[in-house]
Amino acid sequence: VFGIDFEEFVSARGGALVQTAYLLTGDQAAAEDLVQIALMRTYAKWEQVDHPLSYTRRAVLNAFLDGRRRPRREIPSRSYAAAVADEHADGQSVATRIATREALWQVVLALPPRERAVVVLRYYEDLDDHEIATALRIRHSTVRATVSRALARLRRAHLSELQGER
Amino acid sequence: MNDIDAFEANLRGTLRRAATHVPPDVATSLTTRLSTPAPPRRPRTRPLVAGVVAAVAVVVAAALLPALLGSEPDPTRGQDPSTRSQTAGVALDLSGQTLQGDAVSVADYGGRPLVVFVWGSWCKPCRNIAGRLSDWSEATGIPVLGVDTSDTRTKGSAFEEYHRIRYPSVFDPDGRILNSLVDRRPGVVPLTLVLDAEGVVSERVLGAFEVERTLSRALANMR
Repeated sequence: VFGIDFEEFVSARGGALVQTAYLLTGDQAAAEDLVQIALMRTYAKWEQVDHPLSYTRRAVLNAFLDGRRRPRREIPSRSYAAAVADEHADGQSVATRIATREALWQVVLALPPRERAVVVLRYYEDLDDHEIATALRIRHSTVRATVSRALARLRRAHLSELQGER
Repeated sequence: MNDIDAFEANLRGTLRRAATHVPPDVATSLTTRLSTPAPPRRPRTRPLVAGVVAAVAVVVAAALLPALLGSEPDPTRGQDPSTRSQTAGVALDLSGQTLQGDAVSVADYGGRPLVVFVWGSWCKPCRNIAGRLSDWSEATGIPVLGVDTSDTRTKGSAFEEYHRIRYPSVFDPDGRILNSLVDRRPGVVPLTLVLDAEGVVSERVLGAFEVERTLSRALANMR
C-alpha cells in the first residue's frame, strides 16, 4: 500500500478489527490474538496489499476458522433457555429487551464457527453476498445457504425463548 | 416477513451492542509497533504519542526508501558496530549484555546452528513461544539466544522468570538490535532467525509460529 503506513493503519483500524474478532470469539483476549496474527500477515505483505482492511479481515477470519479446527479452549456455549432464565431471574420486565439481546448474543456465540462468521459479516460488517464469498473464499450459493441456515437456527432459539416466557 | 425483518434488526442491534464490549482504544494494546522511537519505559502506554512519533519515522523512512533501494543499507541504522545491518551470506553480528549483565555474542555459538528469538515482555504472542522455545532448546540441544527489545530490565527479567526461560537474552532497551535485524522496515516482534553453523541467517520467521514444526523444518532445510 502506498500512502498509508502500517502503524497508522493499525491505530485507525485495529480497534474495529478487534471488535469484529470479538464477535467471532466472544473473548477479548482471543480476539486480540486473532487480530495480532492477522496483522503480522498483513505486515509481511504490506507492499503488495491493496486493501489492507479487507486483507486483514480475511486473515482474521482464516485465523479464527483455522484455530477452530484444532482443539482449544471452548467458549462456554450455554443453552439459550438457560441464558434467558438467568437474565430474567430477578424479574425486571423493563430490562427484557436488553436481556433478550444478551440472550440472543449467547445464541450467536453458540453457532458453529462458519455460520457465526457469516452472520457477523452480514449483520455487523454489512457485507453483501459477494463480499462475504470473497472474504471466506466460498461460493455465493454457499453464503446464502449458510446465512439462511444460521438465521433459521437463531430464529428457532428466539422462538423457544418467547415460549419459555409464558 | 415483517417478523423476519424485525428479527434481523434485532440481530444487528445485538451484534452492535456486543461489540461495544471491546473498548475502542483497544488498538493501542496491539503489539505490532515500531521498534525505533518508542521510549522503552512505556511500550504499551501513551500509544498516541509513540504512534505519532513512529508514524513520522515511517514516513521519513518511506521517503528515503527509493533512494536506498539497491544501494547500501540505511545509513541511519546499524551504526553501532555490534549490530551492523545484515546482508545475505554474511554471518550475523550481534552482541551485547544479557538481562543479567553478562557479555554474550552470537560468535560464542560458532560452529553450530543457533536460533535468535527477538521478544519483549509487552508482546503477547511472545509469551507462548518464549517458553516453548526453552523446552524445545533443551529437548534438541540447539541453543537459543533471546533479544529482549524495547523493554525494561525489570519487566524482561520478570518475564523470563514467569515463563521459565532458560536461554539467555541480550538486553536491547532502545530497539537498536531489532532495527539492525529488520533491514529498513519497522521492527515487529516476535521475530525469529535461524542461523546455520556459519552464523548466516537461513530463515526468518515474523510473528507467532508453531515452534517444533517450524524449527525442525528450518533445520532440515539447512542440511
